[in-house]
Amino acid sequence: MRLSMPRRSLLTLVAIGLVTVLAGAQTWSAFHATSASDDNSFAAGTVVLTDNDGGTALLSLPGAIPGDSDNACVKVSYAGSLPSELRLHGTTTGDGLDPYLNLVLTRGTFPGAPPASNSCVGFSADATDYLGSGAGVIYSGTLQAFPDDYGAGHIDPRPASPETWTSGESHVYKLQITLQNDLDARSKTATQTFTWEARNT
Amino acid sequence: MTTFRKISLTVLIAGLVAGVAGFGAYSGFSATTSNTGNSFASGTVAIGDNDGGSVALYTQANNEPGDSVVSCIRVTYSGSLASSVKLHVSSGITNGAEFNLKVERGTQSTGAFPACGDFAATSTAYDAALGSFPTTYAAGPDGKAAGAAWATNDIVAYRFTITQNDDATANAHTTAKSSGSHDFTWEARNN
Repeated sequence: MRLSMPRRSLLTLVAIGLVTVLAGAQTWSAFHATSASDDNSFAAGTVVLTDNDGGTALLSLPGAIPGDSDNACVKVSYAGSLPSELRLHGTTTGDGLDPYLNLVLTRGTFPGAPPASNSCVGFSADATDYLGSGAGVIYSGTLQAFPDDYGAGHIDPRPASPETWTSGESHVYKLQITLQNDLDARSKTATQTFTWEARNT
Repeated sequence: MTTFRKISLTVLIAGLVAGVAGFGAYSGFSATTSNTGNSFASGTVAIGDNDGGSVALYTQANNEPGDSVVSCIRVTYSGSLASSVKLHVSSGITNGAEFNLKVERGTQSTGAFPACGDFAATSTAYDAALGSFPTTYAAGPDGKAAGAAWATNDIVAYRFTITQNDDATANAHTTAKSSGSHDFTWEARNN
Protein backbone atom coordinates (compact mmCIF):
# COMPACT_ATOMS: atom_id res chain seq x y z
CA MET A 1 0.00 0.00 0.00
CA ARG A 2 1.33 3.36 -0.83
CA LEU A 3 0.34 6.08 1.52
CA SER A 4 0.50 9.74 1.04
CA MET A 5 2.56 11.65 3.56
CA PRO A 6 -0.44 13.02 5.48
CA ARG A 7 -1.85 9.50 6.00
CA ARG A 8 1.48 8.15 7.16
CA SER A 9 1.74 10.93 9.68
CA LEU A 10 -1.77 10.30 10.84
CA LEU A 11 -1.12 6.59 11.35
CA THR A 12 2.02 7.38 13.28
CA LEU A 13 0.04 9.68 15.50
CA VAL A 14 -2.58 7.03 16.07
CA ALA A 15 0.10 4.52 16.98
CA ILE A 16 1.60 6.92 19.49
CA GLY A 17 -1.79 7.55 20.88
CA LEU A 18 -2.38 3.83 21.41
CA VAL A 19 0.92 3.35 23.17
CA THR A 20 0.13 6.23 25.45
CA VAL A 21 -3.24 4.82 26.32
CA LEU A 22 -1.73 1.42 27.06
CA ALA A 23 0.88 2.93 29.32
CA GLY A 24 -1.82 4.84 31.13
CA ALA A 25 -3.87 1.70 31.51
CA GLN A 26 -0.87 -0.08 33.04
CA THR A 27 -0.70 2.54 35.79
CA TRP A 28 -4.25 1.79 36.79
CA SER A 29 -4.09 -1.96 36.36
CA ALA A 30 -4.22 -2.61 40.12
CA PHE A 31 -7.32 -1.80 42.08
CA HIS A 32 -6.66 -0.68 45.58
CA ALA A 33 -8.56 0.30 48.68
CA THR A 34 -7.54 1.61 52.06
CA SER A 35 -8.64 1.55 55.65
CA ALA A 36 -7.17 3.88 58.23
CA SER A 37 -6.64 4.83 61.83
CA ASP A 38 -5.91 8.55 61.98
CA ASP A 39 -4.49 11.12 64.35
CA ASN A 40 -2.50 8.85 66.59
CA SER A 41 -0.10 10.55 68.97
CA PHE A 42 2.12 9.68 71.89
CA ALA A 43 4.21 12.12 73.90
CA ALA A 44 6.73 11.97 76.68
CA GLY A 45 6.35 13.73 80.00
CA THR A 46 9.02 16.03 81.36
CA VAL A 47 11.53 16.03 84.20
CA VAL A 48 12.80 19.52 84.92
CA LEU A 49 15.01 20.52 87.85
CA THR A 50 16.57 23.92 88.41
CA ASP A 51 18.46 25.72 91.15
CA ASN A 52 19.40 29.23 92.13
CA ASP A 53 23.19 28.92 92.30
CA GLY A 54 23.68 30.92 89.12
CA GLY A 55 26.24 28.40 88.00
CA THR A 56 28.80 29.42 90.59
CA ALA A 57 30.48 27.43 93.35
CA LEU A 58 28.64 27.31 96.66
CA LEU A 59 31.46 26.47 99.04
CA SER A 60 35.07 27.48 99.35
CA LEU A 61 37.73 26.80 101.98
CA PRO A 62 41.00 28.24 100.70
CA GLY A 63 43.99 27.71 103.01
CA ALA A 64 41.79 26.29 105.72
CA ILE A 65 42.88 25.37 109.17
CA PRO A 66 41.22 22.74 111.37
CA GLY A 67 37.71 23.77 112.32
CA ASP A 68 37.29 26.14 109.42
CA SER A 69 33.85 25.93 107.94
CA ASP A 70 31.79 27.31 105.12
CA ASN A 71 28.15 27.02 104.27
CA ALA A 72 25.76 27.95 101.54
CA CYS A 73 22.12 27.45 100.73
CA VAL A 74 20.66 26.50 97.39
CA LYS A 75 17.03 26.35 96.41
CA VAL A 76 16.11 23.47 94.13
CA SER A 77 12.86 23.65 92.18
CA TYR A 78 11.00 21.00 90.23
CA ALA A 79 8.88 21.78 87.20
CA GLY A 80 8.49 18.42 85.45
CA SER A 81 5.16 16.92 84.46
CA LEU A 82 6.12 13.46 85.75
CA PRO A 83 6.53 12.75 89.46
CA SER A 84 10.17 12.19 90.32
CA GLU A 85 12.54 10.97 92.96
CA LEU A 86 15.51 13.14 93.78
CA ARG A 87 18.94 11.97 94.78
CA LEU A 88 22.01 13.90 95.80
CA HIS A 89 25.45 12.86 94.70
CA GLY A 90 28.65 14.30 93.33
CA THR A 91 32.16 13.57 92.24
CA THR A 92 35.35 14.56 93.97
CA THR A 93 38.72 15.44 92.53
CA GLY A 94 41.89 16.73 94.17
CA ASP A 95 44.60 14.98 96.09
CA GLY A 96 42.98 13.39 99.09
CA LEU A 97 41.45 16.04 101.35
CA ASP A 98 37.94 14.64 101.13
CA PRO A 99 38.30 12.15 104.02
CA TYR A 100 39.08 15.12 106.28
CA LEU A 101 36.14 17.27 105.31
CA ASN A 102 32.83 16.83 107.11
CA LEU A 103 29.69 17.56 105.16
CA VAL A 104 26.30 18.25 106.66
CA LEU A 105 23.31 18.63 104.36
CA THR A 106 20.16 20.08 105.86
CA ARG A 107 16.85 20.45 104.09
CA GLY A 108 14.58 23.35 104.86
CA THR A 109 12.92 26.50 103.60
CA PHE A 110 13.21 30.20 103.31
CA PRO A 111 10.23 32.24 104.46
CA GLY A 112 10.31 34.23 101.22
CA ALA A 113 12.65 34.60 98.30
CA PRO A 114 16.14 33.21 98.89
CA PRO A 115 18.75 35.79 99.89
CA ALA A 116 21.44 36.75 97.43
CA SER A 117 24.70 34.93 96.92
CA ASN A 118 23.36 31.65 98.21
CA SER A 119 23.44 32.96 101.74
CA CYS A 120 21.67 30.95 104.42
CA VAL A 121 20.28 33.99 106.23
CA GLY A 122 16.71 33.19 107.17
CA PHE A 123 17.09 29.47 106.46
CA SER A 124 14.76 27.31 108.48
CA ALA A 125 15.45 23.57 108.71
CA ASP A 126 12.68 21.04 108.22
CA ALA A 127 11.24 20.00 111.56
CA THR A 128 11.67 16.32 110.81
CA ASP A 129 14.80 14.68 112.16
CA TYR A 130 15.35 12.44 109.16
CA LEU A 131 18.49 10.61 110.28
CA GLY A 132 18.69 11.23 114.00
CA SER A 133 21.34 13.85 113.34
CA GLY A 134 19.20 16.88 113.96
CA ALA A 135 16.17 18.63 112.48
CA GLY A 136 16.21 18.59 108.70
CA VAL A 137 19.62 16.89 108.38
CA ILE A 138 19.65 14.48 105.47
CA TYR A 139 23.38 13.75 105.35
CA SER A 140 26.15 13.95 107.85
CA GLY A 141 29.47 12.37 107.04
CA THR A 142 32.77 12.88 105.28
CA LEU A 143 32.94 14.28 101.82
CA GLN A 144 34.68 11.07 100.83
CA ALA A 145 31.66 9.01 101.87
CA PHE A 146 29.25 11.23 99.96
CA PRO A 147 27.95 9.15 97.03
CA ASP A 148 29.40 9.76 93.61
CA ASP A 149 26.55 8.81 91.30
CA TYR A 150 22.80 8.49 91.07
CA GLY A 151 22.77 4.76 91.63
CA ALA A 152 24.42 5.16 95.01
CA GLY A 153 22.98 8.62 95.49
CA HIS A 154 21.45 9.84 98.72
CA ILE A 155 17.68 9.62 98.35
CA ASP A 156 15.91 12.80 99.33
CA PRO A 157 15.19 13.18 102.17
CA ARG A 158 15.87 9.64 103.36
CA PRO A 159 15.86 6.20 101.70
CA ALA A 160 13.07 4.85 103.86
CA SER A 161 10.62 7.52 102.73
CA PRO A 162 11.58 9.12 99.43
CA GLU A 163 9.98 12.41 98.57
CA THR A 164 7.88 12.34 95.42
CA TRP A 165 8.65 15.60 93.70
CA THR A 166 5.86 17.12 91.69
CA SER A 167 5.67 20.21 89.55
CA GLY A 168 5.99 23.42 91.54
CA GLU A 169 7.76 21.80 94.47
CA SER A 170 10.95 23.28 95.87
CA HIS A 171 13.23 22.76 98.82
CA VAL A 172 16.25 24.58 100.16
CA TYR A 173 19.43 22.69 100.98
CA LYS A 174 22.02 24.00 103.34
CA LEU A 175 25.50 22.67 102.70
CA GLN A 176 28.03 23.00 105.46
CA ILE A 177 31.60 21.82 105.14
CA THR A 178 34.14 21.70 107.99
CA LEU A 179 37.78 20.74 108.01
CA GLN A 180 38.64 18.09 110.59
CA ASN A 181 41.41 18.56 113.11
CA ASP A 182 43.79 16.01 111.67
CA LEU A 183 47.45 16.51 110.79
CA ASP A 184 47.10 14.19 107.84
CA ALA A 185 44.89 16.79 106.21
CA ARG A 186 47.83 19.07 105.59
CA SER A 187 48.63 20.28 102.10
CA LYS A 188 45.78 18.51 100.46
CA THR A 189 43.01 19.70 98.23
CA ALA A 190 39.55 18.60 97.23
CA THR A 191 37.12 19.85 94.66
CA GLN A 192 33.56 18.66 94.84
CA THR A 193 30.61 18.81 92.50
CA PHE A 194 27.18 18.55 94.08
CA THR A 195 24.40 17.20 91.90
CA TRP A 196 20.72 17.09 92.58
CA GLU A 197 19.28 14.61 90.14
CA ALA A 198 15.60 13.97 89.57
CA ARG A 199 14.38 10.88 87.77
CA ASN A 200 10.77 10.13 87.16
CA THR A 201 9.33 7.41 89.33
CA MET B 1 -17.02 -11.63 -28.43
CA THR B 2 -18.42 -14.51 -30.37
CA THR B 3 -22.05 -15.40 -30.28
CA PHE B 4 -21.21 -18.56 -28.34
CA ARG B 5 -19.56 -16.62 -25.56
CA LYS B 6 -22.47 -14.19 -25.42
CA ILE B 7 -24.80 -17.13 -24.95
CA SER B 8 -22.61 -18.65 -22.29
CA LEU B 9 -22.57 -15.42 -20.26
CA THR B 10 -26.32 -15.13 -20.58
CA VAL B 11 -26.75 -18.63 -19.26
CA LEU B 12 -24.43 -17.97 -16.41
CA ILE B 13 -26.33 -14.79 -15.39
CA ALA B 14 -29.61 -16.60 -15.66
CA GLY B 15 -28.18 -19.35 -13.54
CA LEU B 16 -27.17 -16.90 -10.84
CA VAL B 17 -30.60 -15.32 -10.80
CA ALA B 18 -32.13 -18.74 -10.52
CA GLY B 19 -29.77 -19.54 -7.69
CA VAL B 20 -30.77 -16.43 -5.79
CA ALA B 21 -34.40 -17.19 -6.45
CA GLY B 22 -33.88 -20.75 -5.28
CA PHE B 23 -32.24 -19.58 -2.11
CA GLY B 24 -35.17 -17.26 -1.51
CA ALA B 25 -37.53 -20.14 -1.87
CA TYR B 26 -36.32 -21.48 1.50
CA SER B 27 -36.52 -18.16 3.40
CA GLY B 28 -39.58 -19.21 5.33
CA PHE B 29 -37.67 -21.73 7.45
CA SER B 30 -35.04 -20.79 10.02
CA ALA B 31 -33.27 -22.12 12.99
CA THR B 32 -30.90 -20.37 15.40
CA THR B 33 -29.00 -21.13 18.48
CA SER B 34 -27.85 -18.39 20.83
CA ASN B 35 -25.76 -17.66 23.84
CA THR B 36 -27.16 -14.71 25.77
CA GLY B 37 -26.44 -12.79 28.90
CA ASN B 38 -22.73 -12.28 28.36
CA SER B 39 -21.19 -9.58 30.49
CA PHE B 40 -17.85 -8.49 31.70
CA ALA B 41 -17.31 -6.58 34.91
CA SER B 42 -14.36 -5.57 37.07
CA GLY B 43 -13.69 -7.30 40.36
CA THR B 44 -13.59 -5.34 43.58
CA VAL B 45 -10.93 -4.43 46.09
CA ALA B 46 -12.43 -3.23 49.36
CA ILE B 47 -11.11 -3.12 52.87
CA GLY B 48 -12.50 -1.79 56.13
CA ASP B 49 -11.92 -1.81 59.85
CA ASN B 50 -13.79 -1.60 63.11
CA ASP B 51 -12.58 1.77 64.37
CA GLY B 52 -15.81 3.52 63.48
CA GLY B 53 -14.31 6.09 61.13
CA SER B 54 -10.55 6.36 61.25
CA VAL B 55 -10.37 6.80 65.01
CA ALA B 56 -6.95 6.89 66.65
CA LEU B 57 -5.47 3.84 68.32
CA TYR B 58 -3.63 5.98 70.83
CA THR B 59 -3.50 9.60 71.96
CA GLN B 60 -1.62 9.79 75.21
CA ALA B 61 0.53 12.54 76.64
CA ASN B 62 2.86 12.82 79.63
CA ASN B 63 4.37 9.37 79.35
CA GLU B 64 7.30 8.17 81.37
CA PRO B 65 9.77 5.50 80.30
CA GLY B 66 8.02 2.17 79.97
CA ASP B 67 4.56 3.69 79.72
CA SER B 68 2.62 2.19 76.88
CA VAL B 69 -0.76 2.06 75.20
CA VAL B 70 -2.12 -1.20 73.87
CA SER B 71 -4.95 -1.05 71.31
CA CYS B 72 -6.44 -3.43 68.82
CA ILE B 73 -8.10 -2.99 65.45
CA ARG B 74 -9.73 -5.57 63.21
CA VAL B 75 -9.34 -5.22 59.47
CA THR B 76 -11.76 -6.95 57.13
CA TYR B 77 -11.27 -7.56 53.44
CA SER B 78 -14.46 -7.52 51.40
CA GLY B 79 -13.17 -7.28 47.86
CA SER B 80 -13.78 -10.01 45.30
CA LEU B 81 -10.24 -10.07 43.97
CA ALA B 82 -7.35 -11.64 45.83
CA SER B 83 -5.24 -8.81 47.19
CA SER B 84 -2.07 -7.97 49.01
CA VAL B 85 -2.55 -5.73 52.01
CA LYS B 86 0.22 -3.63 53.46
CA LEU B 87 0.37 -1.21 56.32
CA HIS B 88 2.00 2.19 56.22
CA VAL B 89 2.02 5.40 58.19
CA SER B 90 1.74 9.03 57.25
CA SER B 91 4.93 11.05 57.12
CA GLY B 92 5.80 13.76 59.59
CA ILE B 93 6.39 11.75 62.77
CA THR B 94 8.56 13.69 65.20
CA ASN B 95 10.91 12.32 67.87
CA GLY B 96 10.39 8.92 66.29
CA ALA B 97 13.32 7.36 68.11
CA GLU B 98 11.74 8.15 71.47
CA PHE B 99 8.98 5.62 71.02
CA ASN B 100 8.81 1.94 70.16
CA LEU B 101 5.93 0.57 68.16
CA LYS B 102 5.05 -3.10 68.09
CA VAL B 103 2.38 -4.31 65.69
CA GLU B 104 1.25 -7.89 66.07
CA ARG B 105 -1.12 -9.83 63.85
CA GLY B 106 -3.58 -12.18 65.40
CA THR B 107 -7.14 -13.22 65.98
CA GLN B 108 -9.76 -11.51 68.08
CA SER B 109 -13.40 -12.26 68.65
CA THR B 110 -14.26 -10.08 71.62
CA GLY B 111 -13.65 -6.46 72.56
CA ALA B 112 -14.88 -3.31 70.86
CA PHE B 113 -12.34 -0.97 69.28
CA PRO B 114 -9.82 -0.13 70.66
CA ALA B 115 -10.04 -2.86 73.31
CA CYS B 116 -8.12 -6.05 72.64
CA GLY B 117 -10.54 -8.50 74.25
CA ASP B 118 -9.32 -12.01 73.58
CA PHE B 119 -6.69 -10.99 71.05
CA ALA B 120 -4.23 -13.79 70.44
CA ALA B 121 -1.06 -12.94 68.56
CA THR B 122 0.08 -15.13 65.72
CA SER B 123 2.96 -13.12 64.29
CA THR B 124 4.74 -9.79 64.56
CA ALA B 125 4.50 -7.31 61.73
CA TYR B 126 6.72 -4.61 63.21
CA ASP B 127 8.71 -4.01 66.37
CA ALA B 128 11.03 -1.03 66.18
CA ALA B 129 11.20 2.74 66.53
CA LEU B 130 8.00 4.52 65.59
CA GLY B 131 10.03 6.87 63.42
CA SER B 132 11.26 4.01 61.24
CA PHE B 133 7.79 2.76 60.31
CA PRO B 134 7.50 2.72 56.50
CA THR B 135 5.47 5.47 54.90
CA THR B 136 4.80 3.77 51.57
CA TYR B 137 2.84 0.73 50.42
CA ALA B 138 5.91 -0.73 48.77
CA ALA B 139 7.98 -0.68 51.94
CA GLY B 140 5.17 -1.37 54.38
CA PRO B 141 4.89 -4.47 56.54
CA ASP B 142 2.58 -7.15 55.18
CA GLY B 143 -0.99 -7.35 56.40
CA LYS B 144 -0.63 -11.10 56.69
CA ALA B 145 2.47 -13.03 57.67
CA ALA B 146 4.79 -13.64 54.73
CA GLY B 147 2.61 -11.45 52.51
CA ALA B 148 -0.12 -14.05 52.13
CA ALA B 149 -3.00 -13.05 49.87
CA TRP B 150 -6.30 -11.76 51.23
CA ALA B 151 -9.58 -13.28 50.10
CA THR B 152 -13.12 -12.08 50.55
CA ASN B 153 -14.18 -11.86 54.20
CA ASP B 154 -10.68 -12.39 55.56
CA ILE B 155 -10.24 -10.70 58.94
CA VAL B 156 -6.96 -9.95 60.66
CA ALA B 157 -6.72 -8.33 64.08
CA TYR B 158 -3.78 -6.10 64.90
CA ARG B 159 -2.48 -5.24 68.33
CA PHE B 160 -0.58 -1.95 68.53
CA THR B 161 1.71 -1.41 71.51
CA ILE B 162 3.44 1.96 71.65
CA THR B 163 5.95 2.46 74.42
CA GLN B 164 7.92 5.38 75.77
CA ASN B 165 11.60 4.54 75.48
CA ASP B 166 13.95 5.24 78.34
CA ASP B 167 16.42 8.06 78.05
CA ALA B 168 18.87 8.52 80.89
CA THR B 169 20.50 11.54 79.29
CA ALA B 170 20.39 14.33 81.81
CA ASN B 171 18.08 17.17 80.89
CA ALA B 172 16.93 15.42 77.72
CA HIS B 173 13.30 15.75 78.73
CA THR B 174 12.93 19.20 80.14
CA THR B 175 10.41 19.82 77.38
CA ALA B 176 7.79 17.36 76.23
CA LYS B 177 8.69 15.31 73.18
CA SER B 178 5.72 14.25 71.11
CA SER B 179 5.38 11.87 68.20
CA GLY B 180 3.08 14.35 66.51
CA SER B 181 -0.16 13.22 64.91
CA HIS B 182 0.12 10.34 62.46
CA ASP B 183 -2.23 8.07 60.54
CA PHE B 184 -1.96 4.35 59.87
CA THR B 185 -3.29 3.03 56.57
CA TRP B 186 -4.01 -0.52 55.50
CA GLU B 187 -3.86 -0.57 51.72
CA ALA B 188 -5.12 -3.45 49.61
CA ARG B 189 -4.03 -3.92 46.02
CA ASN B 190 -5.30 -6.76 43.89
CA ASN B 191 -2.77 -9.42 42.97
